[in-house]
Amino acid sequence: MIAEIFAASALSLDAVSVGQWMFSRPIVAGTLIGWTSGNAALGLAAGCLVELLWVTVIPVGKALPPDGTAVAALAVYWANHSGGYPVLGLALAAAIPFGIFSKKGDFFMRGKFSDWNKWILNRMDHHKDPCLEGVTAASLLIAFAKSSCFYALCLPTGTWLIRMSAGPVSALLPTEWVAAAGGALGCAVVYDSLERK
Amino acid sequence: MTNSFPLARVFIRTFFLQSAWNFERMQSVGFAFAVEPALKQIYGRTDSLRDALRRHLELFNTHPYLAGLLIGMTARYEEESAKAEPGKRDELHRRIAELKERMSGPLAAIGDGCFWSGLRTACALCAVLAGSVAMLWELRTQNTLLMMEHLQALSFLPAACFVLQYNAFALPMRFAMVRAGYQWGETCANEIAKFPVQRGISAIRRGSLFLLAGNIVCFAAVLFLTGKPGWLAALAVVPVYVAALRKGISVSKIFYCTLGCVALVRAAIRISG
Repeated sequence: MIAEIFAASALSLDAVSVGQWMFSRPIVAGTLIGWTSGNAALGLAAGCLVELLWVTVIPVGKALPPDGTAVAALAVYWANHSGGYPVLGLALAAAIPFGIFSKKGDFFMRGKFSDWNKWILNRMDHHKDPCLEGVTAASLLIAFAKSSCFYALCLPTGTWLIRMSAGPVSALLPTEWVAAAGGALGCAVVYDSLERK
Repeated sequence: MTNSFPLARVFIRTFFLQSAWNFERMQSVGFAFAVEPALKQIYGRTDSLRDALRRHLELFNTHPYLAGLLIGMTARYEEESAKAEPGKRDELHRRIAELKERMSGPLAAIGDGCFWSGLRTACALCAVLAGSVAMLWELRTQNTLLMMEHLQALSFLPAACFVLQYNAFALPMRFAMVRAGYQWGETCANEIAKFPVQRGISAIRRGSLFLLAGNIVCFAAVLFLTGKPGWLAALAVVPVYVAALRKGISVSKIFYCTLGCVALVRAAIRISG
């Protein structure tokens, strides 16, 4: 689990904090977390589905898109540790609220980062170095720590929940049905975004 | 371009533009961090450096890939203002602030259309298509165990495709933006207008539609080869989803409504069966 926490936290940084090199995208994060937890193909399947569903979401200004990295990483880990493909549909359905919870955490963190402005200007008023490298490094560490705490809490919790409910609930949500519905919805999302002016 | 502009250091720092993003001043800290090497080269460690950094800690927000244009332009104007007479300096400082404010919005719109909506969608569809084609290739073998082994290895292909394709275009573009901002200065708006940006975005969107069609064809082939063609019926629901999306219903809500319907149907089947 330590490897998954570290990998998912590092990948989450790419979404906004550093680079935006697309390592945080669900198709990449899902495959990598799937590999670290034992089934890369399952990770790819989940990652593709989540990617299609949220491919058109744009991180514009104050808007925070649903955390697709968290949804893909959590769903893949839970499925790999609770029975594999048969519970992937259930894992995906359960992961989305956690992705929204992660987004709320981002909102809170960015609100707190507003304090950096006062701190930097205060230092400059006292003729000190504004220490921008330090602020940047501290922001990255805080973002990494926030993601690590999130995954450390959610990975085992979700695994336990999925195992508890796998029998009765996954019979109602078989993976093939969820994948078919998700795939059709993903096609609709992409088609709608490409057809809009 | 003069030898004094630390292009490499400024470019690498643009990757950290949004590290300290906050609701009050958005990318301000990242902007000042990115332009700092150029300002240190111009002013040294003096009060002028602090004043320059203070000027660039004001509210700023634009597309992270195209912000390099404004960063390069700022470095150039700061260089000119350091050499200018005291009377002209304030005018140049006001000019930089004006240009940043006026150009950040249009650059954000271009970046969103070109990269987030355009290139990212096209590369994602390409990557998913690569995965489907790999799966089709493996389905020709009768040996299930061998196929599963190969699929595990080929699982990295779509992700690698996505990252490499995307960054093959995006990284050079980001570097070019910083360089162009410094070289062109204020005329960068006229230079950018010469590029057929809207035509490029339209071409990427048309290409993405073909990629989407290709993906559907590949999935259909996989379903036929695995003896499950019935799943193609799921495509019949696509117009309903498109109508729901156009009404403004979020993807998450539509997904959960669908799962609710699936659960009800499965429960009904179990009760009746």
